[in-house]
Order: sequence, then C-alpha cells, then structure tokens
Amino acid sequence: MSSKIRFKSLVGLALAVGLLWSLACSGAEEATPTPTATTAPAPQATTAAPEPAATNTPTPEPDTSMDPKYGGIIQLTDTVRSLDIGTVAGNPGEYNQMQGWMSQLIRVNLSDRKTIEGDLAESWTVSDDGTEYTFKLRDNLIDHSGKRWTADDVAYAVWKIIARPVDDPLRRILCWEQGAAEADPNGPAAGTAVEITGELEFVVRTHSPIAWYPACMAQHFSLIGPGDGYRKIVAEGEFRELSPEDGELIGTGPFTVKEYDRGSKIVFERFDNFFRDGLPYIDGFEITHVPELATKIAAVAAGRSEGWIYGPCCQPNLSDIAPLKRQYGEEFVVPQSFAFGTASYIVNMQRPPFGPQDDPTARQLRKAVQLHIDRLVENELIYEGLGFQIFFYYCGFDWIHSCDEWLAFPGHAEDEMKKEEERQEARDIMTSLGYGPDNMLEIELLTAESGSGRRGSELLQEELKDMYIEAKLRVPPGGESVYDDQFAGRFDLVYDVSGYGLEDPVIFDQNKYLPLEDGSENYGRWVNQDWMRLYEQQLTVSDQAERGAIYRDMVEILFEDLPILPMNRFRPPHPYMAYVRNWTPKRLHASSASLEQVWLTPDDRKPWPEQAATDIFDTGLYELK
Amino acid sequence: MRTYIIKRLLLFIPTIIFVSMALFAILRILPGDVAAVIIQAGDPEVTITEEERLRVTEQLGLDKPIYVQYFDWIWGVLRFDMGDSFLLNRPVIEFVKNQVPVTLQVAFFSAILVSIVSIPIGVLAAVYQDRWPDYFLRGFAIVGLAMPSFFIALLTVLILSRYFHWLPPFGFVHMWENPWVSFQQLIFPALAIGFHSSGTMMRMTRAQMLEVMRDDYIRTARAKGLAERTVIIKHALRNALLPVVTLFGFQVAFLLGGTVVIEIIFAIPGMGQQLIEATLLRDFPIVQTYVLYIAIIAMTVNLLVDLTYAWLDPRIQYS
Repeated sequence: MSSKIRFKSLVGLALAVGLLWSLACSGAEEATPTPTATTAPAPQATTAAPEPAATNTPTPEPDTSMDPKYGGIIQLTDTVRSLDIGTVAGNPGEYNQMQGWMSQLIRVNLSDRKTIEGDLAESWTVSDDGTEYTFKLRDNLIDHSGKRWTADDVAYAVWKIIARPVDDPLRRILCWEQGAAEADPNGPAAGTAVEITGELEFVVRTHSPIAWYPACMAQHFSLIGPGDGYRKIVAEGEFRELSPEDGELIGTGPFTVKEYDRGSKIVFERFDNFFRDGLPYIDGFEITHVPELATKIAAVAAGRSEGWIYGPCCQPNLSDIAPLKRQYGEEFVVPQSFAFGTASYIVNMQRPPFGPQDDPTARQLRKAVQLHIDRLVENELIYEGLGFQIFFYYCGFDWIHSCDEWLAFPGHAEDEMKKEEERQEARDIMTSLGYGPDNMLEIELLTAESGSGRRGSELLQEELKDMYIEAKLRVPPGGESVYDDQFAGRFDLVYDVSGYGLEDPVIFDQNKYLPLEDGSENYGRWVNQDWMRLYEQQLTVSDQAERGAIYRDMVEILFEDLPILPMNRFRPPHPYMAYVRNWTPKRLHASSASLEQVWLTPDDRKPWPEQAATDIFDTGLYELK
Repeated sequence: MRTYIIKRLLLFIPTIIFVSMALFAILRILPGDVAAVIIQAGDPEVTITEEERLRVTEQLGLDKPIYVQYFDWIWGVLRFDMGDSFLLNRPVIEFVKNQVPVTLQVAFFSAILVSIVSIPIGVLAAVYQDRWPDYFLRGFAIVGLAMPSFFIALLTVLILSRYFHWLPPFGFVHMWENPWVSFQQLIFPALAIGFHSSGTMMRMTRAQMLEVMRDDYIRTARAKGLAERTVIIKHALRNALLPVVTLFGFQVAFLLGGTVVIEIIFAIPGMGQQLIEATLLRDFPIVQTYVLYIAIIAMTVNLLVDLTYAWLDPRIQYS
C-alpha cells in the first residue's frame, strides 16, 4: 500500500517535470516574431535618391514600380563572428553585416547588378594615362555619430585598407594591394597613393593603368570604415579590429549597429540620416548566430527568423527546404541566384596525350574532347538543371561576347542535332588518330573523393567512353586534397571550380590562364605568348569597346589552345541571403548583400517579376512533393 | 577534513601541470597549420607562399621551441593572461568571461535535470523490479544510452519546429535576468545532454537499490515496522547513493563536454561553438584555455563528490 503511495508521488514528480517542459514549449511571451510591418517612419517614399553622375555609367534609379512597405524588422540567422573585413573574408554571407553599417566608395548597382555606380562617391574620373582616379564625394555624408564626412575621412579609410598588414587576408584584394602606388602607413599625403585634393575630392594613384580597377573597387570587399577609428588604431601602434564594445563601428551605411554580441547576435537599426533619401525601407534587421543548418531551417519553420544567410559550411538540398515552401506557400521565396565564378576541367599540357601544347595530335585530341562533352547533360544530371554554362569568360560580359555568341563556339551547342554533329566530329577525329572501340586512349582523370566534382568526373568518364577514351579516376587516398597531384601535374584532366568576387574578366585570367608562378591555378602549365601580350595590353585600356576587341582575340586563342574545358557552374538557390519569407529581396549577387533596398511585404505581397521568375519552386525544375 | 581538502587542492597542481602539458603537446602534434588558415581566411583556393607562412608563424610565436611556447603560455595563465586568439585577434579572457558562465549554466541545469529524473526513476524501477514500471523505465534508460546527445538535440529541434512551429528563443538570458526565458532556453539543451547520462545514472541507481534492498538491515528496518517510504529513502537510498554520486562526478565532465555540440545545435553562445571552431582551425590559445577550464571544473566537481561521501555515510571520515 505505502509503496503504491511512493510510486504515486514519484510519478507525480515526473509529471511535474513533464509539465514544466511542456510549459517551456508553450513560448507564451513571443510565439512567432514574424516581421511586423509598422506604419513606418515613412521616408520620402519613392523620390529617388540623388544618384551620382558616375563616369560612363548612368545609374539606374531604384525600382519604383512597386509600392514598398515601410518599416518592420527582418530576423535572419548567420554566424556573428567578427566585423572585420579580413576576418570574414571567407564567408560572403557575413558581408550583410558589414554592408549594414558601412558604405563603399563605388559599388555594383543593386538593381541591374552589372553597372558600377557611386556610393560615397558622387562621381569619378580617370586620367588619360589611366593611373589616376579622382573621386568626388557626395556633400551629404553624415556618419552614425552625426559627423559630416569629407575627403579626409574617406581617403584615410581608403588608405588604411591599402596599408593593412601584409599578412592580413585583405591583402588578397588586389585593387588595394596591387593598385596602390605606395603603401605609407602614416596615411594619405600629397604625392603618395591617395592624395586629398579638395574638401570632397581625393585622388587614388595606381602603379600603372589597370582597366579593372573600378570593378575591383566596386566589389563588396571594398568597404569604407571610419577614418577616426582607423586613426585610433594606428596611434595604438598595433593592428586590431574596430571595437564594437568601444563604439568604434561608426560608418555611413543605411543601418547603425545598435547591439553587438560576438558569437550571439547583432542588431541593426535604420539610420535616419542615410545619404540616400528614402532609404532604407525597413526599420532594421537582426542577425542571430546560428551555425547549424538544421537549426537555421527550423528557425524559419518556427517563425524565429525570416531567412538565413548562406555560409561556407553547408548547403541544403531542395528537399530540405521544401517543407518550408509547403508551410508558407507564396510567402516563402527561394530565389535562384547568380554565383559568379567558373567551373572547368583543366587540361594538362605537360604530358601526352593532351600535351605538349603545340603538338598537332594533342591539339586534335583537346579539340575532340571539347566538342564531345555534353554540357547540358552535366547540367541535368549533376545540377538538377540549375547550372549554367560557363565559357572561357562569363557570358554576362557581353562587351566581349553575348551569351548567344558564346553558344556558337565549338562544343557549346545547346541544340540537340548540332550537339550530335559535334559528337560525331569528335569521334571522327579520334578515329583519324587511330583510336576506336578496340583501341581506347587511356587518360588519368583526377578527382576528389566526393562532391559535384567527383560526380561530374564520373559522368565525364562515361561520356568519354563514347569517343574511345578510357578515363581512369585518380582519387587521392583518405579524403586528401587533389592539390598536390594538381600542382605536380599528375593528371590529364582535373575538375576545378572557383567562385569570384571581382566582376571583371581579368579575374578569370588571374585564376586560370596566367602562369602558375603568378599565383594562378593554371595547373596544366599552359603558356601562350600571344595571349600574354594581349592580356598585358587590355590591362591598360579604359575604353570598354576597345578592351572588348582585345578580349575577343584572347578568346580566339583560348579556343585554339583549349587550356581548360569550360563546364557548368551551379546556380545555387541559396547564396548569401536566399531563403526569405515575408520580405522582398533584390536580385541577389555576391557583389552586394546590402539590405538597403529591401522591404517587407507581409500583408500586400507583390513580388518583383524577376523574383517570381527565379523562385526555384516556380521554375518547374523541382517538383514539390 | 580541512587537511584533506588542502591536500586535495595541492594535488590539483601536478594534475593541472600534467593536463596542460599533455594538452599543449597534443595540439602541436595534430596535423594542420594555423598560419595557412589565417592566410587563406576560409578560402582554400588561395595559394600560400612559404615566405608568408613563415612570417605568420613567426608572428604567432609558433616558430619558438615547443617548451618555450609552453612556458610562455603557462606563465601567462598564472597571470590570468591567456593570450590572444590567433584568428580573432582578441584576448582569450574576453571569450572566457562571456562564454564559460553560459556553458556552466547549461551543464549545471543539465546535471540537476539528470539528478531529479534518474534517481527517482532508478528507485522506482528497483521498487517495482520485473514489473511493468521497471520494464518501461529500463526501456527508457536503454533508449537514452543508445542515442547520442547531438541526435536527440537535432530530433528535438526538428520536432519542435516542424510539428509545433516553435523553437526556444535564440541567444542566452541568464537565469537571474529572466527565469522564464532562461528556462525555455535551457530545458531542451539540458534534456538533450542529460538524456544519455540519465540512462546511465538510472541503471546504476536501480542496480544499487536492488543490492541494498536485499541487505539484512533493510529487512530489520521493515521488521521494526518502519514506513516503506522511510525504509526506501532513509535506509536504502542513502546507502545506494554512494556509487551513484561517484558516477555523477564523472557525468559532470561528460555533460560539460556534451554542451560543446549541443550549443551549436541550439545556438547557445557558450564556449562550445568557439571550442569546436578553434579546434578545427587550430586556434591554440582558445583550445588550451577552455580545455584547462574543463579540467579544473571536473577536478573541482570530483572533490565535491568525495566530500559528499562523508555526508552520505558518516562512517567515512577524511583526515
């Protein structure tokens, strides 16, 4: 009897614990903090910001065809590790945080994602010899502490970016490092790389003319921090990050840093004195540190965040996020975005069968493989149709070739009949060289143990059989990197993929075609003096049409020599800030993750046409089960 | 008793020295190069020159002989200067101050949960040996033992979000600031970490209780006409608890280690996330400091456990 009573009391205790847990689940105080569109500190609505008259680049006005919904707070998840550009260089997603409070001197236009527009700079000019950039600043630059910025503040910040420590990751950002005439840590002064020439004007001098310098300065790395903060750091004598704790995060960006808790949370608040009238539309945004992908997805499902920012660690499959689409329907958008970069097979020119470079047989073999590879099949099978063809350069540089023109080059045909003709031509070449079903050419195809490169390599292996090539996969043991084998030239073909931040063809040159000693990934050791001469020549040409003509000649050489076999680049549905609910993202791109022109549309959702068209779930490529 | 405590505290010194040396050596033996991590900044496509690597290595002081590095570090620790994070360029003590209390709170909450769940159900299972409550509770314990904490945590997050459209509030609020929010934040991580330990502790409690319940003095107590509650709680449980308390001491170290992964899943800004990232990226000052802290905490808990013996069993005396 008494043991029954004990039993009951113990059960009661267990139930009490259970009750407490269930109470914890009830989350009474803030069930689902969905963004609440407030009536808003209605900025001067659709009066477009005074755009700078930038040289050669008319700046499109912000899209006013939609009625933005003002106010509201966007909740996001990402990692909150640092507000130092160098530290977060490896995670483009974290530039949301940087671009919240800082501005750029010039930037990629947020609407068209192609042209360059002024940000802090109202306009800029390039000297005739291409070595001097004169920047004229806006006259309404107020920072978050209320101070008016002049050339002295901006030039100093530019200078400090140039003069970062040599071991700092930011030194890789070539426009600052290579472009500077000198790097004097004492700051801008007459005759050095940055010279202040007026209250709102300063000049940046470069070693030599660099055609891609504006593109480089417009990339998202090139953020202008507080001159005063940098001066303080210099005075201390040792490099350190700007300190959030000491209130040093004073920028001119659309949002102020209201709260910063490293490894936990960052809170941004609308900056009312932002230099672009009427912007930003939202009251602020908050980013919570959530490193685990499953938790990021769960946070959206639970209403704790409106989306998450893509980090370097993990990419979800569409099947992972499909439940969110089912849960939220039209509210939830998964935009397919543009991931700038390249994907290709590097051809080893150092040994047969694809080398030596000028050997007629090797040349024929390279041509045959280029003709035979079916890039559409790769796209379908490896990327679920979400990839897009990359050529020797990205076809968005239509001042070199338009996408249609690129598709007319050998090997890139999208038409099935044309492709079959190309494949037959490839087989004919192989037959003429003495190969056939009973006499297959053996090659080594270097690949990593897993990932899309591995899957692509296996697909290529199958495809090559059809043209009498037996490709043996070479896989480094134990999950090791393919780097050693690549570097030592122990391959005939190797899959290679790279993402780029600089939106200029020169980034392809620097990563793929320049000699390996120049820091490129030209593991096939391709060298062509004619191409090099043209490369050097285009560097000094500011006129885009003239530069395009030179690049067209470079392309001809590349198609002749085929140092790489360009493939598809995955167009992920989730770079930078792609899973969104209740707010309308601008077209997404690494060049700017700014939330400056984002607005909330919880009640009256009118997605942009581009946005609707790019929702992965609306393309028909993925069936929502 | 005081002499015993002083002796035990003095024993901490060689133990900590040994732990610190082993830790220091193991970290240096691990393959990987923090200089490369710093230069590449998360972008493995960046090519590293030997000159760059040497410069960064020298800057971090990693070019010095290992014993010099060790003494530099340990001298700093004695002055509460744990050095700067290699990757974040900030004093490690800053991270310690912010993150260690959070982790301790999660582990503490978890330990309480383990105690209040596992001991009663262990007793219950013993009292109802080979009947349905026993079978049910043993099944519960085996499930706890079989499932790793991170799996339980992920499952919890998925179930809460998918079926209840709810998750605990992100971040961390201290218990004394807002007990209700803090409770919501702590209960699920504590459950996830504690489930495994609860299984172990429950089984140990049950086994000990069964053994004790067959002793003569329990029969005597019942023969004296004592209430069953008194027999079980005052006579049986108190004696059965000694090995359970010992196990609890070990489990605390396990719970502290368990928080490392759980914090990542529940986005709790404790030392777990930092420790994993620092370990993967070879940020030695952070790893060394945190592991040293965990070692000190584990030793302290074990000392407290030993002192608890005397309270549980008056026959035990320390001198």
